[in-house]
Amino acid sequence: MFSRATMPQPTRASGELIVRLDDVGKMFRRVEQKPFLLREIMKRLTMRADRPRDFWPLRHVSFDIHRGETVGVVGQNGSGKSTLLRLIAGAAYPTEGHIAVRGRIAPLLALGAGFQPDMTGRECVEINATALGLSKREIAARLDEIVAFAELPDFIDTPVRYYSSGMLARLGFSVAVHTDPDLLLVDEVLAVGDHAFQEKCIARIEQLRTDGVTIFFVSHDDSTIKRLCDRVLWLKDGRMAADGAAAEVLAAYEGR
Amino acid sequence: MRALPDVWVHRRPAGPSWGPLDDKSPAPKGPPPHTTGWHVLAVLLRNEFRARYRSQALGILWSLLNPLVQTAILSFIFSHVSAFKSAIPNYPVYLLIGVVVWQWFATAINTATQSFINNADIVKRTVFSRQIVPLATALSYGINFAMEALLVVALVVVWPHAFKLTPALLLVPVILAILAALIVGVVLATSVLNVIYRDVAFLVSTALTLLYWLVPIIYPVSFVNDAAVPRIYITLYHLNPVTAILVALRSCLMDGHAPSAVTWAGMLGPTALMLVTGWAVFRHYERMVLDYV
Repeated sequence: MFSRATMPQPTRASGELIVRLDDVGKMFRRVEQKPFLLREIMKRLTMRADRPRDFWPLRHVSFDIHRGETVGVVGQNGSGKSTLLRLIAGAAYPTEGHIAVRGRIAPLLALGAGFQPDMTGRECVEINATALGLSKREIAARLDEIVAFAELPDFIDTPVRYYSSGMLARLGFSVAVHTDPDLLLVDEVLAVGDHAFQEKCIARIEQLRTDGVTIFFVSHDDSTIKRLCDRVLWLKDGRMAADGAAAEVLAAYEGR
Repeated sequence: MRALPDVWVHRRPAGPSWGPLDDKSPAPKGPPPHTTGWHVLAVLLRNEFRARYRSQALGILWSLLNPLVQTAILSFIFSHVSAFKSAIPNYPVYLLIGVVVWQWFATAINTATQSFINNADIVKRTVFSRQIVPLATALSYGINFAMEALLVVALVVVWPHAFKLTPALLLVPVILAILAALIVGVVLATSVLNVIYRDVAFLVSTALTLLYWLVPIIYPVSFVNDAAVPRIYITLYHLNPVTAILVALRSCLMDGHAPSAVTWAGMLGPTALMLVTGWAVFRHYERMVLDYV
């Protein structure tokens, strides 16, 4: 679409550098069906699999993000969006290149990491928030706020296995946005919950944005991206297809 | 607006390091400050333990029942073996110590080997030192062990002549710390290996079944010492750290004297080796865990 030289350069926020990716690539070994029958095991052992099994969901990706920017990421399924977010979050390591991230990251890769069905909402908040990097004192100070935002004051001491999926999503989102992050990574999580709660989430993200939080936002919903983001990255087959002002890149993406 | 720490988390293929971004000189050694998070261990450990006994009315009491029943049955059966009777004066006490220690060792290793798979979502989606995951599982069974150890303490009350309350008792915590270190060493290796080769869990559980009979839980050590086998097998038997730990514990509790130098060597040597090996294996496969789990 755009060559690297003619890429529309985004208007740089004057803030400090928060994220820098330098020629980052991630390789996975394709895992085929495990040999199950003895015959297959013998086959695997006697002749080496010679198919090319390397797969690069993401390669040659470079960009900088400054404090206060809200960056959207678009691309088709399998274009590497989620891998990119996992790399920035530190939930996966790059195979090549160099990633530098500064400050506290709140990865919303999926809501409610660490929720276990038998634990109460309160315990789940504790474990989820701890895994997201909050100290015990910080959790205690924010618990009421988290519960209020999730609209669950009556159910917080109920085991989460009795929660509806909407209640779980609300609790998970609520914890993530209350971790006081420097960088918020949002991966498709707004697809859950009813319209009213989605609105509330978007409003909350806008609030964080005004507070100067840097947001990295993956979505298939162009209208939300248009509303929230000033800069958009377009990923195509694991490569950067475009990086620029939201309106321009989205127009190109829609016209692809 | 909060001031950012002047520290960058660098993620290079070669390994995580941190330092100022624009400085091309080698980054400082050590983990980046906000990804260590040892307080995560306390929270995971507590929740792991709580979740296990959440929905049962009797909760933790179930954990006490198993060693009690096992000890009762085994001591009923083997008290009819006259060779056992003459070799071990207070057989039920001898047995209970063995059963309780084995319970921690075997359950912790079996469960912690699966810990990355059981906690896949938290491992994949959040960022903290990954060794915390197997450690939390293994050490949460230490809480069970502490409860079960109360059974042994209860026996002191009902059966005081089976115990020697001497200063050697002060060594018991030291020996238990060695046991914990041994468990940690084993699960550091098995937990990561099990993510990549899921066969490891089966291998571990089979090996534990075998090991059950290779350590003196049920039978007296003198059986092995007097066995008509080459000397080397007996030496190997005593180099097993679990054997040494059991021998040491019983010598402190029941005989009232400190373990011999050979027993100390049998505990410390293999345990140290296991810790070093476990840590090396863990470091080697740590990154792959995130892609395979």
